[in-house]
Amino acid sequence: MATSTSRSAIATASGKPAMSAEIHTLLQRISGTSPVDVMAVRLMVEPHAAAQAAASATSAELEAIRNCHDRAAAEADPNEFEKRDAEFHAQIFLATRNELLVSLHDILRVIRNQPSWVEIKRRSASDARRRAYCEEHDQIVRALLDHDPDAAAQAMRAHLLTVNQNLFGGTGLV
Amino acid sequence: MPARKTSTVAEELRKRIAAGEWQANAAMPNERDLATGFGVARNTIRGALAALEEEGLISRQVGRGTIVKQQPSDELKLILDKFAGASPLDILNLRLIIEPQVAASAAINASARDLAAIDEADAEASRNEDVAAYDQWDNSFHALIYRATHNDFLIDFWNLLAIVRYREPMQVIRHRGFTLARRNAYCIQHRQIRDALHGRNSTAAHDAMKLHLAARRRNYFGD
Repeated sequence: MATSTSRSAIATASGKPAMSAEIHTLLQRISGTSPVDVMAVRLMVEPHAAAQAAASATSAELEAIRNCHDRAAAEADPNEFEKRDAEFHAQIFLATRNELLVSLHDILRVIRNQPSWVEIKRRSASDARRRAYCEEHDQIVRALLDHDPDAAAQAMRAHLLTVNQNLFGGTGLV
Repeated sequence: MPARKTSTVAEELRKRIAAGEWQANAAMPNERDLATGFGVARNTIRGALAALEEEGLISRQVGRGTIVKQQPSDELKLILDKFAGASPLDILNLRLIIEPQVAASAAINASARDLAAIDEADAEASRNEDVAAYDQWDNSFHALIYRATHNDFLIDFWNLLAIVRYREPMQVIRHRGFTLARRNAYCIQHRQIRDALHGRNSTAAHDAMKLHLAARRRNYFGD
């Protein structure tokens, strides 16, 4: 079933991976993943990443995460907040030191940076919601600083459920 | 003979699109010019373009001709390279994070038709003691569980992993770690996953998949 995909991924003689039409199509489809599907995957992956980060983050990594959180909280401009917010989540993935998990999150980030997403986020943004996100980020940071994996996973899950609710209301059931 | 010619032309066109010969959203030469260029009949070109359209590389619109579709971003290509270069252990560890949750999601999202397909893959895997045939059905079993989530990203994530899973080193590892006793244990584990899916029990599906993949990791790479 998957063998045809694999055959096309075989490296060329130069050692550079060949970009076959099948992989091309795969990437194209991934770029077009629906917002609801992306949020479902974030809910699967990010609580785990937070737990892993709580267990394995160095003090420098924790400092970087806290820094992102502080800067997001201090940001008045919605677009800038959005960037800091994304960076906060990315730093947590980095702290897992699981390269593939980081790559998986990078894929989700590329999808979320597409124009259709920007519009959804803009429509759902408000000052009150931003403040709520910052409080939830604060809970996550506390759990990470306590090196408490269960609390970190739980805080991340609660946060993503809020985001999911704000983005899709009752329509984005996961 | 014509089918063969069609696939040769299609492959050549794929290469030229990947090489950037035609800009995204710009028109390709028309069928007649392509036919002249390749020295083949227009029917052959038409067949090749139909294949490319099927793959999502091009779109054909009345009045606009054949348009090369937007290429996926370079960023995504770079990320994909990381997956293609990942170690077998890293891949299995990533599956250990994702796949139990995939099974949990499949338990509540699978249709009766999904479950029937999973049952069939499970039954075929149980029937095959030969490593290559078993491997094939085992692969289908897992692929169908991803499919049963009805989450397009997860389905494509499996396709992404398949690129790595079917590279030679990974296949060597799977075949080296294959014994009849282990295969029998996998069959029992698959049955537990299957039962949990049928019972619509997300927690049980999650735990059964986790146990199964952990057993595989032990068998391939030790503790």
